[in-house]
Amino acid sequence: MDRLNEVDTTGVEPMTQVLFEAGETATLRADVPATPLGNQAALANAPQPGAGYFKVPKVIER
Amino acid sequence: MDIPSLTIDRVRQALLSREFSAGELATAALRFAEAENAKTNAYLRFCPERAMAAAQRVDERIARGEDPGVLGGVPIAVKDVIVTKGVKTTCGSRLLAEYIPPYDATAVIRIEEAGGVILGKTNCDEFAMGSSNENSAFGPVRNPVALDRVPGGSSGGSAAVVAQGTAVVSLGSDTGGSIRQPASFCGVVGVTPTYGRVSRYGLTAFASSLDHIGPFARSVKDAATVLSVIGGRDPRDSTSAEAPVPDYSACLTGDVKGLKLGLPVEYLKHLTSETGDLISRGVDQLKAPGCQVREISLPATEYAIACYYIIATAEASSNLARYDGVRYTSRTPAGDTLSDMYRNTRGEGFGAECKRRIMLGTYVLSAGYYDAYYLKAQKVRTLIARDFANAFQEVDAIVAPVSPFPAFKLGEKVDDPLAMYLSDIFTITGSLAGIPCMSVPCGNTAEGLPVGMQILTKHFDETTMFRLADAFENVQRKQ
Repeated sequence: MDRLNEVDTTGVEPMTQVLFEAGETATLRADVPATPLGNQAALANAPQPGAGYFKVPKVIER
Repeated sequence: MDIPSLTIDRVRQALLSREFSAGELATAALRFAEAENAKTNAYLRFCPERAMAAAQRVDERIARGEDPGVLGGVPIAVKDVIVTKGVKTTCGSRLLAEYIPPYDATAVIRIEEAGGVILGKTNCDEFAMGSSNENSAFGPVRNPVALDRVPGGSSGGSAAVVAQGTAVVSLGSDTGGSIRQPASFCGVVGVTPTYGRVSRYGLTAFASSLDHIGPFARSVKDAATVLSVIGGRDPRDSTSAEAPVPDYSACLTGDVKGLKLGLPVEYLKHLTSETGDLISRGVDQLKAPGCQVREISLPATEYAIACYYIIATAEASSNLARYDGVRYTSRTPAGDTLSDMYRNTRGEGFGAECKRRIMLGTYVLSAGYYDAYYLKAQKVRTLIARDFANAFQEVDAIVAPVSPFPAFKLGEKVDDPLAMYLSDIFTITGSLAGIPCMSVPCGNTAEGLPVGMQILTKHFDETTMFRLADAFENVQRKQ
């Protein structure tokens, strides 16, 4: 990984976008309502669901 | 019906002439694939109910006098990192051994809308991390061409089923070469389209700035047909491009006269002599139909592996943080605290290669190292992309090897991750630049091992890539 230090990147912009030329609308979809997944389906793969939530070990002491 | 020799055209013609129905084909294809799979372990599971339901919809279309669809009745396999509603999707990981997705990937929806019949899910390296398919929690895949050898990776199963004839086409994913390298090792066509060409909605994220979905097929034409089906804007993937998708299979005119091809000198190092000879012969053969070949230079190539393993692991460490024991099926409960639960779940669930990459990625993103590694790698990535942009001012396409060597033996490189990473030396650059690239068969070694030729073109110019690949395939078949 240290080999990269051999490369002169003075004045080179980092490639934070793969396709620079994409228009700004490319990130926007039409603002129309769609049916969400739903609580039951979202929890179907949870190792420990409970009362409509994902349960985890206690993190806050009373 | 001779299942291993089927093509998309052949299936269509048989369905329209009522030689056999989609239901009969699905039944026969499933029976054949289930029997053959013991040799290779390429499928992780079949989904016969889903396949028969899809086939029935195609037969109903035909009975009503409608078109069966571009992929009507075609038996298809899908890599197990692409989610299928109601059908287990494990990503080759113990951590997701019981995960049943609640939705379908966009590519899967498009395949089935076009009449495709998904037979099952294919084996792969865990979370698509690997070059030999030996990192799967469910056992390696054997190369159908030589059963003591690897099929390549990470989409080893998807390449193997097409080579073996247990699917006509398949879907894989490519982050640094995971479609092209196994296609080369198994002697089939494998396509990594332009970044953004195919929606990744429902593709389990590994490195989001590098992940692609693409097809495997036994002919350029079939691969082109599948890409036309799965390509195009999807509102559910903000990185999918608006650019219109041509009917790629209609662009295969055979006319490549005057096409200017570049052969990058940096890609001719590190090759085994047999691979080098086959690639040289292949490049020479392209002169017959009228291509002009010249040497070009892509000077940043030698830094591509370091650049890739910083960017890809950084993104992976972030993407794989979601497997925390809360939402995705597996939780290892030992310990009383949330941290213990995370540590135990991830420690037990992930295999060695995933852990290696998550740790490397976390390190390069950590405070104090971010600029030196991640930011530096992103700048080098710009230089790699710029190399290609400069080259494409002079040439229409680049031809290169896919892998420095043909399929290696199972177990040969498992203890040497750096040697394994070298498998991807020629495929990583195209991935970093986000340009379309593919592997097309280029002959066999004396031992009968396939070698693939890589074709790369500029962003969204899959048309030229397919046209050249098709012409090359014609030359190869005449031999």
